[in-house]
Amino acid sequence: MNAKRRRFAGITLGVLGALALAGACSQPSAAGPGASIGDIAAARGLSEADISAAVKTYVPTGQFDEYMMFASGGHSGQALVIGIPSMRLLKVIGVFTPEPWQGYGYGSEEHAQLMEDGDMAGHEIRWGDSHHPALSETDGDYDGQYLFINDKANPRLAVIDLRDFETKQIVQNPLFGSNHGGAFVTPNTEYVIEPAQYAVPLDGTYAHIDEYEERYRGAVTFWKFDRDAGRLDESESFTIELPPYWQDLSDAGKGPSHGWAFINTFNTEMATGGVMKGNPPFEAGASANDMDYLTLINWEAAARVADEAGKTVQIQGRRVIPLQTAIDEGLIYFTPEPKSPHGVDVTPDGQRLVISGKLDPHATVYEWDRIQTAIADQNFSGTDAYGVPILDFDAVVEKQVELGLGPLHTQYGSNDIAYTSLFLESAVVKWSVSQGVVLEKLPVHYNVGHIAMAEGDTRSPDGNYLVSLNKWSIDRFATVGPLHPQNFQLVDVTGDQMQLLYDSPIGIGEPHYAQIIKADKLAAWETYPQIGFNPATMSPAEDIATTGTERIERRDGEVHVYMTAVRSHFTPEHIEVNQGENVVLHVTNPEQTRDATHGFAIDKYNVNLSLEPGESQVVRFTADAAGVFPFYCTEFCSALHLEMAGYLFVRP
Amino acid sequence: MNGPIEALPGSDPGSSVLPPATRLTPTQFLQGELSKRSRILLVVLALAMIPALFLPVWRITLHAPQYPGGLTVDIYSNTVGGELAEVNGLNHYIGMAEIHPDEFPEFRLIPFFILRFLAFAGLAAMVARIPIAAVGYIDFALFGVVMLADFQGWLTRYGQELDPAAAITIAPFTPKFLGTTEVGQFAVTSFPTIATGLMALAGLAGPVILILEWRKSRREYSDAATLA
Repeated sequence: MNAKRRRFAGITLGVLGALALAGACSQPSAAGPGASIGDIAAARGLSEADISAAVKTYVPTGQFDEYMMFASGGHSGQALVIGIPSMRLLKVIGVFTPEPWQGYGYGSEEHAQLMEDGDMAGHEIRWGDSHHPALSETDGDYDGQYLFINDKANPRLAVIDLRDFETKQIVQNPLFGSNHGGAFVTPNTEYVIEPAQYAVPLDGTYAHIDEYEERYRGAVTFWKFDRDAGRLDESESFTIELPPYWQDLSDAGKGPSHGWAFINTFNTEMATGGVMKGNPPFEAGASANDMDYLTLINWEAAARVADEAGKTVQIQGRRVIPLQTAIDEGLIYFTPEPKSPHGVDVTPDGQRLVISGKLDPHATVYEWDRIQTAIADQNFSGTDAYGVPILDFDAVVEKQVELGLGPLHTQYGSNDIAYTSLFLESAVVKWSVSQGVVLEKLPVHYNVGHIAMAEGDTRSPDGNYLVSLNKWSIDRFATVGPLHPQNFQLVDVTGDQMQLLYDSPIGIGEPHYAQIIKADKLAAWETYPQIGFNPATMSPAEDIATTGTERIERRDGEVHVYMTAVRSHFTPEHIEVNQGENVVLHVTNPEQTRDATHGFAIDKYNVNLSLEPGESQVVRFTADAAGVFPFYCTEFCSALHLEMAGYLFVRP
Repeated sequence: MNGPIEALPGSDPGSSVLPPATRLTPTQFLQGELSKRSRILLVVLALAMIPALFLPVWRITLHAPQYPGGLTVDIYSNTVGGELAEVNGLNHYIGMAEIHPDEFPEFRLIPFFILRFLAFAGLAAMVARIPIAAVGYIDFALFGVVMLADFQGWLTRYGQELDPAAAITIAPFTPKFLGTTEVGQFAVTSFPTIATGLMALAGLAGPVILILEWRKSRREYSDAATLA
């Protein structure tokens, strides 16, 4: 024994000596822990600005980011959670698309129901084109309770509870054929605003494109949010019929403009496309006019009208205020806006609206007082083809500020400073809203769409961080094949000059919008608060087993298996059923330790659950395939994780 | 501070013919009255036992890399609290029996002993009798020693009686009731906490009161003898 130990010590010393020798012979390493900052920078070719950027974004191990950004996951159909300033990806929340890690859509009865609620036109829809996340607000500030996000491709909205960062509801809008301008919330999250995008017949039927002006329609739905239930309430929601223009982004008024919603439109030309029929393509036809219409809607008044008898019609089971009623009740006005607009962004004080038309180098600033006066004075320059009064442009616009090429979306810093993305210029421009002057431009890489700022669309923006959500990354990252990642660029806006800090590749889809909330406003759970908790209802689950009460019962033609998953075993470990039997698994993780999550996957049965501490899930399936099927824990829960397994025996 | 001495033992006028005793006998001492100072101290000690009933007596902490804050088990006079579920969960790997507070008869006895000490101390303070204080003290001190031995006994049983069918086989061990024991990646520390501090204060106060009272009685005795 002693000889062996001596030999081991000898070998160790020999290896150490060899390493030391190798170290002495090689170039002095600049990356060693003892190297000075100057040496490291010189060795890596970093400038002083690079070091400053690195220091501003580095979050040491064990420390948390100051902000959390909730970004749409684009085609992934998910929502991304990213820390700022580190830009570390914290979570991909499963929303419209099954997400195996969270066990989302792989066997859980609740998740299956949630997703089925989003199936449309007889199709099982298991993806989404998530665009615009919206954090719930109280008094016009983020309150950190809920997140809403839309699916543009299939007009749907989802509700995510920020206690457990899980999707709780998917609602569909059968009236629409796509949506774009949601989700945006009113200042107390009374409603979630969901405008349509491409006009279709609202009744869901076929109409020839030649009937476009008669049968096709735009619309906006105001989804009532029941905060106590944490759900959108379809029965209390209402839709307003709009002319067959295409709706784009929206925003809710706040402060003096509280009670109003603003929606950009395009294709007010009512182009119908059809290049192969000799018509101009949409891109030309829908951009023919210099001006489109900003839609102004009094949602507070509309909510009252929607409750009055005879003021709404039912279309596909939804309450719709017809356009004529909306006009008669003074719920809707238009005013011209530069064509191809994207953002309509209400200033923090609620006094101004900034609109960017991508094909016009100006930001157009509308003043709320002027809008109110124009409405009161009926200062109209006419009506559109459907009779919607058009507020006189000169009467409501305060100024136009030349920002640069392709202004797209505006966010706010502190003290009257606005930041607007310039798509064509690939830049972010900083400017003063009240003075109407450009202060600075920062190139970004490349083709910036939305920008997100720390609480930058609330009543009290923080004015420190800006994230540029770039559509193209071109040469910013190593090539990973012809599909390149998106590029989120973090910018420090606290100084006189904006400083680009960090490039973060997004390789999961094309995100559109993001919102950034101060992390201390969130109060997420570390574990579920009780053993046997049902995340779908956010209440204790019924009909479960906990440690000691596991059992298998046959009743009503079903095999009910009451299971627990504890480090490092399932109870029971043997599940014996006959082929064709309906199996209901009630699986509970009775642990209460942070991170003690168990997975539960069944071989060849397309089942995988994520059972976070305290969580309970129900899986229902028919044991249609006979054979022996191992099940096991899919989270590396413990040293004996591999042994955390069992068998499903299906007797033929 | 000290009241007048009316009748010192041995200074009985009827036996004044005898030479005055030069030493205070234990019997004489025990028949004496507790001083006001000691009585106040006894009341304080009695009151200190009330929080001792509700505060943790002992804390066992399991330190391991994946438990950055440590896993704590707090032992109270009548139960075990803290992260017991997690500790039981971990212990099952090495085949240690689960700890269930309701299986310990001690948890019914300990509050009773604390209350008994409270009663003795309170009574002694009220009637100012040294023997009552002494009985209460001895009762409590014995109880303390027995409980510590009992605690170590339980720890030894848990550490030694490991289920041989457990997933991880380790050599039986004896966790220390005081100090640190290494088990796998865990460093298990075991230290008394506030309630034990309060009880230990009572334990220390006993001899202090005894010495103070003895000195006081001897001084008064010799004063009285000199006067006689």
